[in-house]
Amino acid sequence: MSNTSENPNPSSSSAKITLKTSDNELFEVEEAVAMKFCTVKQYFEDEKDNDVAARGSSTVIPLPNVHSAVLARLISYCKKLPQSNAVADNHEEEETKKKERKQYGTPGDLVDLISAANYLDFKEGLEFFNQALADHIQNKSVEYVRKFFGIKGDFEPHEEEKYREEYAWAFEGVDED
Amino acid sequence: MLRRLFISDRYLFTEKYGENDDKDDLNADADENDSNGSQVVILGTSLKWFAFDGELINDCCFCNSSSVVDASIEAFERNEVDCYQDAHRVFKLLSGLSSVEKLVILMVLNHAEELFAHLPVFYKLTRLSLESLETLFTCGAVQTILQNSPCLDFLEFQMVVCLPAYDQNYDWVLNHAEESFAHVPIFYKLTRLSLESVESLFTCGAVQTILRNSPCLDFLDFQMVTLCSAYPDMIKIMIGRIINTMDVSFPLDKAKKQKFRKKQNANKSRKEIDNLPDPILQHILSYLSTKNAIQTSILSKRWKCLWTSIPKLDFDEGALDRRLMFMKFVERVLALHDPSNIKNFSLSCNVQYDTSHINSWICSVVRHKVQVLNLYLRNFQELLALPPCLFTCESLEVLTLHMFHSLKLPSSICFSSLKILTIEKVIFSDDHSTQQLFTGCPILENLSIVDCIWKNVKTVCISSPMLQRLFISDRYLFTEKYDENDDKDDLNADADDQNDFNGCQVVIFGTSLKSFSFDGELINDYCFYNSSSIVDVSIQVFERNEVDCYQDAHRVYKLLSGISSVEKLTVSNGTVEVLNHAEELFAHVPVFYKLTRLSLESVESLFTCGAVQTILQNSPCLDFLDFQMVFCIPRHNKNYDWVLDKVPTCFVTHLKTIEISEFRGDEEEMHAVKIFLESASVLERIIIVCDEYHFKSRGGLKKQKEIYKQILLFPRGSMSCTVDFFLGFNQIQITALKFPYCS
Repeated sequence: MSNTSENPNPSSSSAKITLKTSDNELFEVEEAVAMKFCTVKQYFEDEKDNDVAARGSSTVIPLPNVHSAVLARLISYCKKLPQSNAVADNHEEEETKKKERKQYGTPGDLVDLISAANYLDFKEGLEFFNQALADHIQNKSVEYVRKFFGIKGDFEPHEEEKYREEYAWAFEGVDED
Repeated sequence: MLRRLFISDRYLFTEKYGENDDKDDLNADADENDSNGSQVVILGTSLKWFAFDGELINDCCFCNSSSVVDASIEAFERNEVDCYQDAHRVFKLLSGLSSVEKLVILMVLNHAEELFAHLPVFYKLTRLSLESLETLFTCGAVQTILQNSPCLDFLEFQMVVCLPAYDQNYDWVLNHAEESFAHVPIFYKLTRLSLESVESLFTCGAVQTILRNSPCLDFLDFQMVTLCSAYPDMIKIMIGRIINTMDVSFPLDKAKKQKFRKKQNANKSRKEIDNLPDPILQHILSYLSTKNAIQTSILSKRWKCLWTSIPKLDFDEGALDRRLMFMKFVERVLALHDPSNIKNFSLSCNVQYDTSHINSWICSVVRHKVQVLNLYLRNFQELLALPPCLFTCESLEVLTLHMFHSLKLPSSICFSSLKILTIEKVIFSDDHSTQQLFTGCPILENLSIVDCIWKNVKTVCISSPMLQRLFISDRYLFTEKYDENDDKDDLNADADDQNDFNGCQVVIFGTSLKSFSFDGELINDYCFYNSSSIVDVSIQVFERNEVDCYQDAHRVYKLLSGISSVEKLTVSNGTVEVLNHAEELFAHVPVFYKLTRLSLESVESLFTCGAVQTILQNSPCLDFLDFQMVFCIPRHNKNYDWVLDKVPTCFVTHLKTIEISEFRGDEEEMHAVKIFLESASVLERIIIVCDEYHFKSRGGLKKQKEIYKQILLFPRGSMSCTVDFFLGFNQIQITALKFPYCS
């Protein structure tokens, strides 16, 4: 393994890092993208300390908790990052951002993305997808949320009724969606 | 003048899920519907945007709405009985929208086949969004729309069903709709196709048919390309074939197909939300309104207490008649929530006579070490003095204070952690307390003073040593003219009366200041000392009146002379107008020895304003000049000869890039481009981004090509200069127009 011709600067955008997913797919991603995932970054830096020669594409970083389909979406989100980072300051912008968040699919897909982003310690992604999931809950009825997120209501009927009574103040005067 | 119309009829739908919490006894059956819907006729002569969402309970139809550009129709199916009528109504809607350019359809149209013939020709439709690929193949109506849209150049599927996870669906599509592949229209103008995954290309016959029927396709994009090392080469080859040979035949690699199957099994993942850990769920809840977050407590036992430790509480009072309910709600939430965990607290409400309540809430969150506090208070019926503990809060990092009310401050102020302060509409009381407020923020980094009233203050000094960003807006007089100040109440009805007030003198010592932005009228006098660290400045001044204009010009010069070390400067058209009132001051424009980037709002401001030319002359290092062309200002300077009195030095030594956005190609602009190309002798690149909407009605692409040709023929001072011509903001077809390069 000769790395002599490779760019010695690890932060160079041309450097690639290979990630291996739970289903043994290999992803070759730009280092700048991979470093957004703090878990990968940590692994990469530890690895570098252990073995000075191990750099760039020579390392394969295993991600046993991440499926290839999910990682692909995270990477594509990463690449779009710069534009979507700005704070929305008016209603229209907020709407476009909402649409953008909507693109990331069903609540189920989002749960996968969130678990993966959490495992990878990918802060921006986690914020974005959490918000996307929140969009699915906002202004929805209890029954809807239970159904769409596969939550089993484990209150006894009388418990639930009592609870609803106690918390009536939180359920009154809700604006319709 | 109606431009945007949004209609939603979802109440029956939400009713099914028992969601309508607004119901009371008086109106319990208001939504029981044995009426056959109202007829809503929409005369939309200026209507641009229309969206419908819900069930077609009512009958909407358009008259005279040929101005509609963007329409979105999302209809839910009701029941067997009404479906025919609903279909009828959809067709009625569509026939009123024949001039639409962008159309989103999310629904099933198939209940009334005999109506297909009544679909209008969408002669302007360039972009169509559908819910799924299926609708294209299984719905004759969609196919008819496609047939009737001769200009369509962008087709989008919002949730392509052919993802590997849905392999069975894909089979379904194939089995049920294969025979209709033959009916897929030929997309003569389709140049760009977006797919959600590479797999859909290989596993879905439908996609392949679309590709086969799109002879002009020159851009194929995969929104989540998984360039796994396994098959990037194959994809490259495929794309090569599509674009070059049009001979699209996709061998379905058996091995590959197996792989997808395998993936599908592996995909049986933990999709349930309950698999996420508590902190993540709390994070998600923090994006909800506090009310919604509390409602999740009834989902299950696990969720019961989740909300009590979300770090963010957000209270926004709605209609006035629910005042009592709102007050009760805030009280209870504060009582039940884990008090040690309120990091972020927002309160937007009417004050009325409840200053004591509001103060006790503020005290409570301050006591529990709130970090972010946002207060939007309005409708005062009694005087409010915010609690003194707020002004000595050690944990507070971000504070927003929005109230059109006199700011009574305690004698001691110390925000020892405050980094971001925004004060909006506040009426400062006097010199001493105002000064104390600014001195009481030792580590402040970000300060915004928005439309505050300085009338009672003569001089004040802003000198936070760590201050990096300062934003000042003085637009309240301007908005006043348009009666926009909703915050006014009886207590302060004439607080913004500016009679015999010659402005407050605000002195800014910005030793760490990086960016400064001003927006509004120069009612007050701002000046900088020791601000050589400043990098980015934007000055957007509105002209006031004949009397004050000379003074205003003076104030702009004063501002400019304090920021001579700026690197990036933005000057609005209004500022330029004001500068022009005092020609004798041109000599006082400082030398901007570090300025590398100058943004102006129009080419006119460069050629008709001596001050701007002076700025250019005094900016020896300028290498980027851009024109945002935001306003279409009246051309009152017709007789002004459009020349640069003297070619600025930066034009021959440094200026490398010129960018013009919203380019319309009129005489003045062309003239300006000509002068730039002639006189900028080290120019490397001129970027011209056309105003899409302007050209759409004026010959479109053809006209743009002509203009581009003309520009290429202009003589050039720099031999290595390229002209990058963008047809519109989002279209990256720069030099796709291949013209012989002329130098």
